[in-house]
Amino acid sequence: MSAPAASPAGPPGGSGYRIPSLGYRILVSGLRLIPLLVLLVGLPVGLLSFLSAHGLTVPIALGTVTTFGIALSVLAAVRYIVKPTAAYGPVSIVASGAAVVYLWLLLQASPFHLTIPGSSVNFALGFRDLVLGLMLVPGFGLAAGIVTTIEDVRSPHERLPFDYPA
Amino acid sequence: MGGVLVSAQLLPRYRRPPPLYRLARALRRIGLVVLVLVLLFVASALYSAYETARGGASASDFEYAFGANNTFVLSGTLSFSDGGIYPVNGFTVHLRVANATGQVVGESSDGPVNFAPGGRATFPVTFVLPIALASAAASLLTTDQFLNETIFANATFAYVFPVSVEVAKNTSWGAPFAGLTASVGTPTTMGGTVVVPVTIQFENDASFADDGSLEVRLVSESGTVCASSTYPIDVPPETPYSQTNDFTLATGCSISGGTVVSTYTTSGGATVTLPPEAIP
Repeated sequence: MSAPAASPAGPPGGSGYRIPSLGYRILVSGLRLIPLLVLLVGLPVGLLSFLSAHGLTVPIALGTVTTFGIALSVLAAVRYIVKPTAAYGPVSIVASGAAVVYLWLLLQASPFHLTIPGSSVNFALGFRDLVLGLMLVPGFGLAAGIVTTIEDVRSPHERLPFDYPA
Repeated sequence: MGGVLVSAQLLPRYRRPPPLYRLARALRRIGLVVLVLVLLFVASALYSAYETARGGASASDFEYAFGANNTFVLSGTLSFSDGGIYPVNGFTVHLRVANATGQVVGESSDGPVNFAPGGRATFPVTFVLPIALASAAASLLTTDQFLNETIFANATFAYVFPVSVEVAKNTSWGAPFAGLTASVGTPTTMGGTVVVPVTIQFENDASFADDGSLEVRLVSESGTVCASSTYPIDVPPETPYSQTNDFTLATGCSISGGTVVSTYTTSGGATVTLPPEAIP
């Protein structure tokens, strides 16, 4: 499927750019939304529901996982749609900030305590360092969003020939 | 010269992205690399955890015995197989023993031990519980009771995952000198010396034998030892013991209002001071 151009193209390989149409971007971001929702909502909610159904305590509320999973997926989709606009940087910042908040909430759930029903066995698993390591990812995304915002303010459309080369 | 100029005009002109664009791109790429590395690490840790759990851990029967002076030891062995690709570091075991009222009568730890990946390791675990008379565990010597044993083990798996397991269980404790009494009989005077019969009674309800010697001292109210005697004992588990011995008191020494102090010495040479018994 070719991407219909919605913006004027410049000289090939030079400073021109070819931005896919809004409809095309919405379609692609919608398709990207599906695996994101599976990964960020379906799998964790399924796992937590499984634990809960077996009488095990869950480390984080299902509502929190669902809310943040949907929010992060939608923000990722919106980010793709607004990539050619000046909103790309701010949306990247919001998306990364939401991811940081979500991971911070996960951090509070460490260590995860598990009591096996009907027994006197308690199990605890800490994952603080792992979450801190994961926080680097939105941390870099946050920094990239700030840099992009600054770039878009200083020189609007400067990045478009590189993001959408003609 | 002209040919060079034509070539330059025909070739696509490459323009280097501006610095801010390159910086943002680099930050995003670093973030992506970190994400991939973390996901790979998590996947390998999950695999390693599965293999380690499959290898399993086992424990021998833990048994109580008298240890060094005024101590009980609970000893056994733990076997652990780490079939994964990451080590288990800082494995520490902690034992807490509480009596029926919840009072902690003893705590002890063993470790830390590191388990290398891909191997099976066995290490002895010894918990030492002090049973000096002033300690909370002194009642373990003479009183059968229910105990709450809590075993807490913790370690760090794959460098970043602290894991802990706590297992609590109630056990029935049989005291090695259950119901210990020292009965002082009627003194008799023969030729100026005073002889007192003393009967030591108890039941060995422990899972181990009272094998060694028992020193019994008759102590006056002022703390002077009026008489003492040491004799061997060998009381198997679940066996009552009763022994009467005559004690000749030192001249002029009165045991009225004093105490009977008994000290058990194990066959290994460790001493255990038993609770004193008042003499009426």
